[in-house]
Formats: sequence, C-alpha cells, structure tokens
Amino acid sequence: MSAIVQARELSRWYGIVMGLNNVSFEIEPGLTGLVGPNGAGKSTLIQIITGQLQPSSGDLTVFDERPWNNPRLLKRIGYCPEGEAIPKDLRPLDWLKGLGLMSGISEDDVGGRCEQILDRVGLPREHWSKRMTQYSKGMKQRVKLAQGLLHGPDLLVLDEPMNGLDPMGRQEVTNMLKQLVEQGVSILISSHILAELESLCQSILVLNWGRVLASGSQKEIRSDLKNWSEELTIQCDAPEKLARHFFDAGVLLGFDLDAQESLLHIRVKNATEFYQRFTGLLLGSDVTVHSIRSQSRSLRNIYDKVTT
Amino acid sequence: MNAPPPVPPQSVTKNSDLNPAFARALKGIWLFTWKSQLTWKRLPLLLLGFLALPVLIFITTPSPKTWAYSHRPQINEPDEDFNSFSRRLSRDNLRLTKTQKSGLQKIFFEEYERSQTILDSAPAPEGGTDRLSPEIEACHQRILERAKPVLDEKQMDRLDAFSPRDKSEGRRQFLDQVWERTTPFYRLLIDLYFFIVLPLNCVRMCGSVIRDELEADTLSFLTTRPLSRAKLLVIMFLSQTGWLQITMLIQTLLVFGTGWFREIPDLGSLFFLFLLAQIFAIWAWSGLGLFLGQVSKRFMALALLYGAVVEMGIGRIPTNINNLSLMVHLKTLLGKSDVLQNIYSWPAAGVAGAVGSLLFGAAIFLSLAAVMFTFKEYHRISETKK
Repeated sequence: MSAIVQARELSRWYGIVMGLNNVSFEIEPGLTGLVGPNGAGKSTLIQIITGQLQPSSGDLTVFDERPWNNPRLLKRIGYCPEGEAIPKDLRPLDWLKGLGLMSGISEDDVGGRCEQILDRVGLPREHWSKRMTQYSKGMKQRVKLAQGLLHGPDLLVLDEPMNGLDPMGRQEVTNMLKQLVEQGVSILISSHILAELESLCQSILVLNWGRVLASGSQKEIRSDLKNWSEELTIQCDAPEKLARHFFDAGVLLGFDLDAQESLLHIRVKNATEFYQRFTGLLLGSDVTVHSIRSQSRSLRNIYDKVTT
Repeated sequence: MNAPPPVPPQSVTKNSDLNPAFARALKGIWLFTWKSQLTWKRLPLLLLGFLALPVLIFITTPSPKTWAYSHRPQINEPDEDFNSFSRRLSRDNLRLTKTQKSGLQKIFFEEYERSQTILDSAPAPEGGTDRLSPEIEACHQRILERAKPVLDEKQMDRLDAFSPRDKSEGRRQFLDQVWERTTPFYRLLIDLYFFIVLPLNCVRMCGSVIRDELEADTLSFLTTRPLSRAKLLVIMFLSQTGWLQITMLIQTLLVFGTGWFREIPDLGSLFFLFLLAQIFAIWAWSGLGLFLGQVSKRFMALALLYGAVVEMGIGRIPTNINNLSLMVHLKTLLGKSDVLQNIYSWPAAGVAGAVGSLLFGAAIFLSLAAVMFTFKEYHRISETKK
C-alpha cells in the first residue's frame, strides 16, 4: 500500500524557533494518530499537510503532490482545525453552504449536502437556526467537523477533534471516523486523549521537539522498543521471593513490592531476552503466579517512553 | 444508558464531482459577507452610519425659505438711527427741542416700520438684497417730507445728508462671498463624504478582509478550500467591494434625498455622474486598502500616511506626477459637473483617462495584494503581533 503522506528531511523554522527538525516519515492510508506534547510540532506538520505553511527545507507530499497553493490537492483534503474559532454571526447552514460553494459543490446540491452532513456529525436540528456564537464547545466542534467532511475528502486532517465533546459525543465521532475509514477515507488525527487514539488508530506518529520519535503501527513501535526497558506487574503469592529469584538471575533493573496487594512491579533490562527466559524463570522460582500485566502495552506508556 | 450512535448515511458528494469555479466561490464568499454584516447586532451601527451625514446636511443646509428669511433685507432699528441723528445735531449746536424730538422720533418709527413691512411682504430671491437700497431711499424721502413741519432749515439740511442704514450690511459683505445656501451640502458631500469618509471606509473594510479572519482564527477554513490563494483574495475583494457598493449607494441616495428635500438646485444632473465616480472610487480605494492590509496590521495608519504623501502632497504638485494621486482622477471625473466646477474649479482633463487611471490603480493594488497573499504564510501567533 503506497503512503498518502511522505515527508523527506522536512524542516520548518519560525525565525530561530524550530517547528520541525529534519523529519522523514510516511503515513499509510487508514487512521493515523499524531501524538506529542505541546510544542512538539504537531500543528506545524498539520499546517504543512493542509497547505497553510511551506516547508523551510525538505519536502512533503500528500497523494504525491505538494500541498502549498495546490487547489487540485486541497479538493481531496478536509481539515478541522484546533480551537473553538468559528465565524461569528453566521448560522451553521449558511456557513457550510458558503464553504460548500467555495469547495465546488453545485448550488443545487449544496443545501441538501449541508443538512446531510450536519445530521451526520450529530448536531441536533433545533440548533441549526441559531447563530454559532451561541453554541457550546461541543456543538462548535461538530460544525467544524462537518465543514471538514463537506466535500467528501480522501484525507481528513483533524486537530484535536474530541475537545469539548462529551463522552457520548466522543463515542459518536469515534464511530463516525471508523465508518469513514471503512469507506476508504484516510484520517490523520491529533489528540491528547491517548486512550482514544489507542483504540482508534491503526498507526501513530510520535513527535517531540520537532522530531519524529516513533512512527508506524502500535505493534511496530513496541517492537522498535524491544531493547528498551520493560515494565511488568506480577500478582503472585510470594512477591518478595519472586523478586529475589529474578534479581539473582540478573534480569532486573529494579523492582517495587506491594505486599498488601501481593504485587511485584519489575523493570527488566532487555525485554526480548527476558521473555525468552520468562517461563523457565517462573517455573524455577516455585512461586504461584496469578496474573501478569505489561505496563508497556498502553499507548500512554509508549508515549511516555519516547517523549521522556 | 447511552443511545446508540446515529448511522451515518452514505456520502453523496465525491471530491471528483467538485467543480470549484470562480463564480461559485464568489457566491459562497458573498453569502458570508452579507450574512455576517446584516445582523440585528450590527443594524443600529449601520443605521447610525447611514443617517449621520444626511442629518448633518439637514442641519447645516437651510431650506430656501429659511435662508431667504434669515437673509431678508433689514432696515436698521429706528431708535438707533434717530439717536445717531440727534447726536449729530447736538454736535453741530442744532439741538432738537422736546417737541421736535418727539415728533421726529414718531416719524422715524412709523416710516422705518412701513419700509420693513414692505420689504417683508414679498419673499426675496435666494441670497438677493437688491430691493433694500431703493426702499431705504424711499424711506428717507418720506421722512424728509414729513419732517419739514417739524425741523428748521439747518436741521433739514442735516437730515437730508442722513440716511437710514442697512442692518445686515456688514455681515453680508463678508459671508455671502464665501458661503451660499448650498455650500454646506456640497462641502459635506464632496469634501467630507467623497474624499474622506468613502476612502477611509473602503480602506478599513478591505484592509481587514484577511486580518479579521486571521484574528478570529478562521482563515484556515478559507485557505484550505480548493482555490488558489490569488483567486481567493480576488473573490474576497469582489465580495467586499460589492457590499461597499450597495451600502455606499444607500448612503448616496440618503444624502441626495436630503439635498432634494432641502431644494438644492441641479441635483439631478450631478447624481448619475456622482454615482459613476463613486463606483470607480470604491474599487480604487478598496484595492489600496486590500494591499495595505497585506502589508501591515496597522493598515489604517499606513493609509493616512499614503493620504498625506501621495494624495495631499504629490497630488497637488502641478505637473504630470500628480497623476499618481487617485483624487486627481476623481476630481477630473466630478469636474464634468458644472455645479461642482463652479464651486471647486478643478483642472479639466479627459474622463476616459481618469477612468482608465482609476481602474489601473485598482488593478495594480489588487495584483500586488494577490501576489503577497500567494506567497505569504499566515501564522496566527506571529502575524497578529505585527
């Protein structure tokens, strides 16, 4: 499958401030999460992808075309920016109609299309006649999402789309995004809510300080981290005894005991080597193990690892 | 318990079906322009803007009737003239006796009142005071005739040399040379509205076209549409100037309506020429505003600087270099009106050249703005600080 977004040695400066620092990556079709703390370069990358900024050096292509001032490509991209800003004094249908006409939807179709898309993002009809200044954060987010979907884009770029949505709204949007992906739409989504990205995204791109720290599927990233220290929580009947056994075997970096819960938290030196010896070590310890949980399975843990 | 999420219908629009044409995009932007301007919240300010100038004209431009009354010929106060004559006789040792005094005073009062009644009885032509001198002379003759039984010969000689005075003479000599009845109307219409309010309004509205979007953080909704940046800017310009043409047309109708109400002569001949000049003026000033808006956030300050240097400075140099001034061309256009030419005496030149220059100016400013917008990146945080 060919990549929809390709970046080669891409850099972007704002004066002396580095937005992106010589990054190269590819984004495959499907749902990709963009993860990183504030100032990581997420918004810069999104703005380059959506043709609002130009690279200072290097190259970025979307569907094999450069986005800057490229109407042919922008026809295939939908964008939902971060924040609550939407035009004052307009009603959602008027705004969407205007944007729809600008996008090239015919006058005959634009009205129906706008109503359809507002239904799709779940904005209740009783709010359609209100001016958008009266909207709640969640309602604004839905209208913003609608304008990104209006012209049927092949790539939808969403910057923090879940902000302001209540849990039910988040679930609705998540379902909608999944259905869009099933229909062949690729989605690049930036969010701080890592748990949602984890359940939603097939692959992720981790940014920090303008650098790509990790990219690919979650499985691939974990695989890349195989030489990094691994954290496990083991519930057993004799945590202290098990800790001593692991320590004597020379596989531990450190451990914590929770005697009340009969939990042993361990950090291992080499995850691959540890898991190869794991069964033998447990059998040799003569300790009854009730459960084993890897702390490194969550996206939060991956994120923490690559950004610290 | 959460309700099941709505099942989204299949998308009917594919991006391959899209046809982002110029006219279609213009309709889209036009929708934003008028819908966001015409709101209940903005309506009071809009009405205030529309009514301010007509009200000012209504207040400062008197009707012909009012003007005629305030400028009617007025003979001087009788007691003032009588006292003056009496003092003159005293200086010449021809002092009036008590009987003479009361008799002559009565004659003065009666004849002055008679003359003023005659002057007030027929409305004077606009600004005309020609009937006053004959009436003063007639009044003087009547006083002389009636005073013969009252005064002696020497006193009569003095009275013969004394004449009733014109009360408003001094004021008329100064004011009527510079300020006619219609002057406030034309000064407000041309000097204030056409050469100050209109340019500033155009620059303000078009200079903020991109800035307002940027400050509201909504520019990205427009720049991520499938339109080239230059095309987007031209469309925004046309939409904004369209709105300005409509609002300024309403303003002009109100101003001319007030002028018609105040019975300003020859308004009809000026009206269409003025509208034509206004159409070109709006394009030219809006083009300037759009360009200055691209240059800096403080585009109004730049506009004032431009006005001082180019319009007030270079535009007044009596060589061909003054063609750089937009006002020079607008004056050429308006100078085709005899009414305005009589007031302003603008230098005559070809209308076609003036129209061409204004359109060329608008095109140059628009092109410069489009080029800047094409290559300029708008990053909200950095840009709003400029």
